[in-house]
Amino acid sequence: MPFFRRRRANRSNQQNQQQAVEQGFRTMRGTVVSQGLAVDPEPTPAEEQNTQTGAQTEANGTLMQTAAARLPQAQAASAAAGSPVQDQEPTKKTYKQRREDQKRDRLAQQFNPDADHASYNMMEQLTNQDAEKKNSMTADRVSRAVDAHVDLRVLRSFSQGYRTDKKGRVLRKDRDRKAADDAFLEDYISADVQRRWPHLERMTREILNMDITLGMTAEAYLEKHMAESYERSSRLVYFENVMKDPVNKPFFDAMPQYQLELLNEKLNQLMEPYSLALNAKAMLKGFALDKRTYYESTDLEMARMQDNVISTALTQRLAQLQQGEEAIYDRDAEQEIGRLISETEPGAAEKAPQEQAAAEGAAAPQTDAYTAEFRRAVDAKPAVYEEYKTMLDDLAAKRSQIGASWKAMRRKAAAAQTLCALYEGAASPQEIRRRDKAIEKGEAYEAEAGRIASELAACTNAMDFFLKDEPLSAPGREMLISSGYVRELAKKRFTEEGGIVEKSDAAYRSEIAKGSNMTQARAAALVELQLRQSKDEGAKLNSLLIGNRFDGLSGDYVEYFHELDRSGTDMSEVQANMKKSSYSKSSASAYVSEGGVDEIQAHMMGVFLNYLTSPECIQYFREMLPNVKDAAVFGGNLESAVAYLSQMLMIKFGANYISVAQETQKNAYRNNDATRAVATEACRTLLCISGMPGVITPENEAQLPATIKAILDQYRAGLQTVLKGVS
Amino acid sequence: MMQIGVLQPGDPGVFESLLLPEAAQALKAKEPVTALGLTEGDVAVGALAGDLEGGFFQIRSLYVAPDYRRRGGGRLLVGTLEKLLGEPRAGMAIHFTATREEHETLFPFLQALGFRDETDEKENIYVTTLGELEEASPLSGARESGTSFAELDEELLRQADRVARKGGSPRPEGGVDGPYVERRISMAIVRENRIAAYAIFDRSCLNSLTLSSTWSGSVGPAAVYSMVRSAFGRARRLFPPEEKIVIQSVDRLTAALIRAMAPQARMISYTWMK
Repeated sequence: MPFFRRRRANRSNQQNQQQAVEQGFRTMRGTVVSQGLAVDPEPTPAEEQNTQTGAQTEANGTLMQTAAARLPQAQAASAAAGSPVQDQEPTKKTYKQRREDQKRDRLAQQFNPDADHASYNMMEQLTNQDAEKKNSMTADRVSRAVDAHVDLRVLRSFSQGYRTDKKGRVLRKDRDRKAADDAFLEDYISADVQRRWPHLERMTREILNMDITLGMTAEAYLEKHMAESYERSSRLVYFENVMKDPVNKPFFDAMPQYQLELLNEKLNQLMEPYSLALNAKAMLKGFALDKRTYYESTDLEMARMQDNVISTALTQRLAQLQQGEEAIYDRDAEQEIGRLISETEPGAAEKAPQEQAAAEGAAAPQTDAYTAEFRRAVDAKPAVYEEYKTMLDDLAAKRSQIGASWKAMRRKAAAAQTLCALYEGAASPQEIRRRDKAIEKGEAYEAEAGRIASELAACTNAMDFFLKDEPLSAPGREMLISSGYVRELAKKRFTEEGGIVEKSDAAYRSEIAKGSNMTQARAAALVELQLRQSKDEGAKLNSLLIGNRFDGLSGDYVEYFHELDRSGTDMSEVQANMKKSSYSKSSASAYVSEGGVDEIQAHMMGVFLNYLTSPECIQYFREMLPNVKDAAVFGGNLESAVAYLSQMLMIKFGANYISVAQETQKNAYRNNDATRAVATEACRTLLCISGMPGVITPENEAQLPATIKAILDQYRAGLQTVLKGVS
Repeated sequence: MMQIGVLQPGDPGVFESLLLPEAAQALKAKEPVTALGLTEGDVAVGALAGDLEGGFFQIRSLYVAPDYRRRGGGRLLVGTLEKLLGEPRAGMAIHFTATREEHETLFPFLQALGFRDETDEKENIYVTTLGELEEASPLSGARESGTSFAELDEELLRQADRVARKGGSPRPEGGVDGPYVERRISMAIVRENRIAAYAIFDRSCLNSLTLSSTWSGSVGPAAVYSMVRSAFGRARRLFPPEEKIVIQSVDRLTAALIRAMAPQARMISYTWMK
């Protein structure tokens, strides 16, 4: 359909315009369209062929028919992952195409200097669409619709329209469209919901299945698909009117809740931004979308800004829509599963609240907490039960809750499986999504049930470990620790028959029996006591009992060395002047003194002892000492046990120079190398001193420099404070 | 085992995600598009769509999901199409841009099926980087030719746009004086208070700096060449060496210009035919 502009109004042009109107052409200013009169008889195929786009269309039609005849319909339930992406259109316009574009550029620019061939193409599509729809929206129908208070915008948006030839006869290709429009318009105008029903179903399906992407607002896409995009937008907008029409109420009342929610979600999220996006793009191309007229001129910068803002908003809404739909399907699945549970298990609804409460952690009644087996185990070992009563009662209640949770989860998993079976044969995208969601829920519930089962097994194992002396599994151990029963665990592991202390004692006796000296026997026993190596279970339990009591110590050391820096202490001098000595041949007996390092070491010992003698640390000794004090290696001497545990604390925390070394790597001190060296040696001294009580001979002690002796006394005083605290 | 079927006009169903958006939309709109779907079991794994135009079947979309490649699926799609086209059959053509690693897999595939590379080097999109341009020939130091758009009067630019529209000269989307033009880099040669030639940059291609329009007007190709190099020099001062540069060549002249300036530039728009 050619478009042309009247440059000068003169008689011959006016006559031409009149002729053009009669022939069904239209002008840009003031749309005049043919009335689309349906004239019998129908055009012959020969006549019609002249109006078609030519051999090319026919060839494509033939090819499509050949394909349909020779090949089965491609069918699949799902698609493999992946999608093709084309970042840039290839250059393939022929010279002819470009020339046509240039011609259309000129035509469009007669109305707006900023318009171009894309603007022209979009406008052409829209005016063609208007004309086609007007063929369906006859004057008679419009009149009857108005009388029946039927929304014309709904009729216009949801009709398809059809093309006619020069004589106003419907094109053969468009006969189906005309027939569909006739049925839709007559049924909708009737205001009879039953007649409207199948159309409402179709319209609903269309809206539900409407898939909008940001790419569909790109110029390259709209240049070819502006008409269908506009129709899509109109249908979104006016579907709200369809939903609000009281005549249609029975239809929407009968609709499944999740579908209603999906419809509302789509309308709320996309209706406005999609329409605005199309309008913005049209403005960029120099024309007003709704009015089908060109602007005189375009403020491109403003139009581009607007377009950017709206595109961003549309992107956000698309993401929100995706999330909203996901939430709807999730809720729907939960509701359906709940319904199935209540339908298939009598009394399940009454049970459900209790189980729900149990799953949420509420304490079950005492009488419900004990299974028969637990009762029997308790009866078999009343002394053990008494010793660990609080913990065992707690674990039993916990196990009961976990068991209830597991049953509830299994029930849900089974209901989800039933739901999947009900959705077998799902056809519409929405049903397929419901089915997929049911599968997803089922898998999640199965996984959760498995996890709960593991938790149940861990709880059972933890209880059996105490009541039946069963081996403790890793999950069982984790269960005890996470439940706050480290003390009980540590106590059992150290003091049980065949436990850590017994193994230590056995090693001690074995060395003595072999004729080893006391030092060797002690060493072997202490290895088996499992407190030295962090990988050993005893050390891990000990570490858990210590908790975070010494966490501040490394920071205190770092800050102390900063203070020394600020006060002008020359670490290189200290390093150069300190003297290395040892009180015996053992490598653990090395220490440094003189040159200023004594004050540093004494201060560090003081900082360590602050932590060691704190009320929190005394509490640690009260918890840990009973586990180890009776070990043969300590000879029944509490002081010896305290000294050993304190030495372990010194090794782990007090003699740890790592934090200071890390500071030196950041060049935090004036002389980093010397600071690191002094800190290392000072820590070695503290370590040495912590090993002296009960080990150093009086003769060796007498040989110690006075400054070192003073620090040793400082340390001994600290041990005494601990002893007093635990006694 | 993989199977081929025809896709229903109006409803590509689950195959939609295996088609380029435009092809999917054409199918949904019941445009005269022939579309084939590839399945393995009840999983859609590939699709092909296109239509006859200009004596060739133009393949608009051809894709096999990555997990199902190298199993003959692509060959099956194209082979089935060939059989449908019958004898004497129309040729087949596929136009595509290779901007990702995945696109490179098309070349050996098409070659193995007997397609030949009919890419037009004169009308193509070339991609290079500022670093590569500099490597070919240093961008700094040379005397600058032309004036950047940022330094030109607005009326001069508007005038140039009017001239371009009237004369049908290349101009970017939005116009010579439009908001998408990278004014700091776009250059013009001004003579007698009129723009006599220009080289305009925007970001219209791959969202990268694109030399989208050059017009030599009343100056010779040498002047245009110098002007474009000055523009690149400016770009180099503003952007790092890895900044992508896209140049669309529309004729023999611009293709030669690109080969001279950027011998390492890569074509990205391809046409293969059989």
